[in-house]
This record gives sequence, structure tokens and C-alpha cells, in this order.
Amino acid sequence: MSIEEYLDRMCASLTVDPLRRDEIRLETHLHLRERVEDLVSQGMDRPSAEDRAVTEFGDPSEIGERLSRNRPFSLPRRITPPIRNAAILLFALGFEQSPGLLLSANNLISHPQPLTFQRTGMPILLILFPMISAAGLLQGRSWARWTGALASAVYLSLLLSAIPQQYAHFGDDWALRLLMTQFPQILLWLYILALLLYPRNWKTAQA
Amino acid sequence: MTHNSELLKGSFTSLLLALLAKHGEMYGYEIAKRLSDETEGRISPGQSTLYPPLHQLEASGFVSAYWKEVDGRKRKYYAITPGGKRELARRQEEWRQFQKTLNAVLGTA
Repeated sequence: MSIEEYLDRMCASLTVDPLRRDEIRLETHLHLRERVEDLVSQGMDRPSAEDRAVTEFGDPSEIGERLSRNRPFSLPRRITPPIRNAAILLFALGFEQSPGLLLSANNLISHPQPLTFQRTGMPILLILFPMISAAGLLQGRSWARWTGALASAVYLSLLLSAIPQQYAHFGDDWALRLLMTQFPQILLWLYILALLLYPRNWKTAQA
Repeated sequence: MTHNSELLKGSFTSLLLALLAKHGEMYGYEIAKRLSDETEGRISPGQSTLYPPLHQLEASGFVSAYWKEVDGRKRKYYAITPGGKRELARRQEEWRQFQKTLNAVLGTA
């Protein structure tokens, strides 16, 4: 088996993000090349040296799986594109909710009422929760994956519960209601959830 | 004589930490050769058994890894971190205690 064939097989069994996969491939490639050079300098012909180097390295599928098993649930050191996208979307969500907070603040000033969590705490949390999650994601914090997913789930359920009340005037045509209402937002939130929860988005490697 | 792989399993990452603490930064192939040389071939890791534990140490923050070009050759180097040194000291102490315990039973048989 040639070195390239070996690397292809190993990479096929890697379940890590593309950046990590490329790095592992390059590191293994350089290792095998160096081993081949050593064997050639000891008098072995190049094809036999290549063959020996890949045999010594072990079963390509097995090592691919072992390297993928590492750190299944922690965050990448480098921010991969899917995680960066999730973070941007979470920031956008926090930003989107800002008018709600301003409105609440304005109402409090215009019509002073006793403070309750319902009127003050909730809007603040709806802004801060996704934004803190996004900041955590960008810094590679392990908790951010779960708070981000939780924020997505909370928002999804809020959106779903709001649909029947807000869009009742569309009548009974459920398909029309679905298309004209929050359908794109629901897809967006499902996308964020998938980005956060799909294991391939996470660099793998820990005991 | 090569050592039993089951015995080695739990200690391999400690050996890697000790080697990096002793020799400073090294790349994967160099670590494998050095380990084989220092143990006179008794511990000669199959090349594939080297990288998963090495990456595990990197993920745990005990080892830092970076790409560097030396003499026109690009390689991924590994170096022990301050946290890795503390971990190594902890494992060395643990090993001493373990050895003492085993010696109490096996050493006198």
C-alpha cells in the first residue's frame, strides 16, 4: 500500500473537523516520509521501505478511529467554521432581542410598576443567554456548547408556542401559516442546534 | 525483552511527559525513536500507538503542540507545559507509592 493510499484510508475513518483532519494527515505523512528515509538510508529499497513504514504504523482504519475517539465532547481549540457560524447566529439572536429589552425599560420608566422577574429578568436573560453562549463558543469554552444548545431549544419552543396565537388570522390553512410565519426562523434554530450538537463539528481528543 | 503492553497501557502518557520534560520539545517521530533508544528497544511503540496518547496530552493541556520549520523541514513539535510538569510530578509520586505497595508484596516473594 502506498503512503497516499494509507493516508486516504486513515482519513476516511477520522470523524473530526476538516482542519483537524488535514493536520493529522500532514503529521502522519511527515512521520511516514521520515521513516521511509531512515529505512532507505539503512539500505532498503524505496518501495519496500514505504511498505514497511505503513505496516509499522498499524491498521489505518483503527488509528483513524482511535484518533477520533479522543475528546468527543469538548470544544475545538481552533474555531471551526460551523462553530463560528453558530456563535454568529447566537450573537444575532441576542441582538435581535434587544428592542424587547428597550421596550421593557421604556415601559418601566413611563409607567413605573413594581419590578418583577417577568418584566425585567426575562428580557435581559433572553439577550444575555445567547450572547454569553456565543462569546463562550468563540473562546472555546466547554460549557458554551450546552448553553448554546439550551438557548436554541428555549427559543425554538418559544417560537413554536407563539405561532398559533400570533398568526391565527391566517385561518385554518396550516401550510400557509407555516410558510408565512416563523418557518425560516425555526429552520435557522434547528440549524444552530445541529451545528452545536453534531459531533463532527467538534475537535475530538481526550481520554 | 519487550514489556507487557497491558502493563504499559496506563503508564505510556507518563513516559511521554517524562521524555518531553527531559529533552524539551520534540516531534512525533523523534519521540518514538528516543523512547526506543532510552529503553534499549524494550519499549518501542508501534508508530500508531504514539499519536493518540500524544494528542490526548495535548487536549488535556499537559503538552503544547505547534508547527515549526527546522532545516527546511516542517514538523509538529510537542513540548511539556507547566501544567504538564505538575501532572508529571503528581504521577511520579503516585508511581513511587504504587511501586512501594507492589514491592511489599511481590518484591519479597
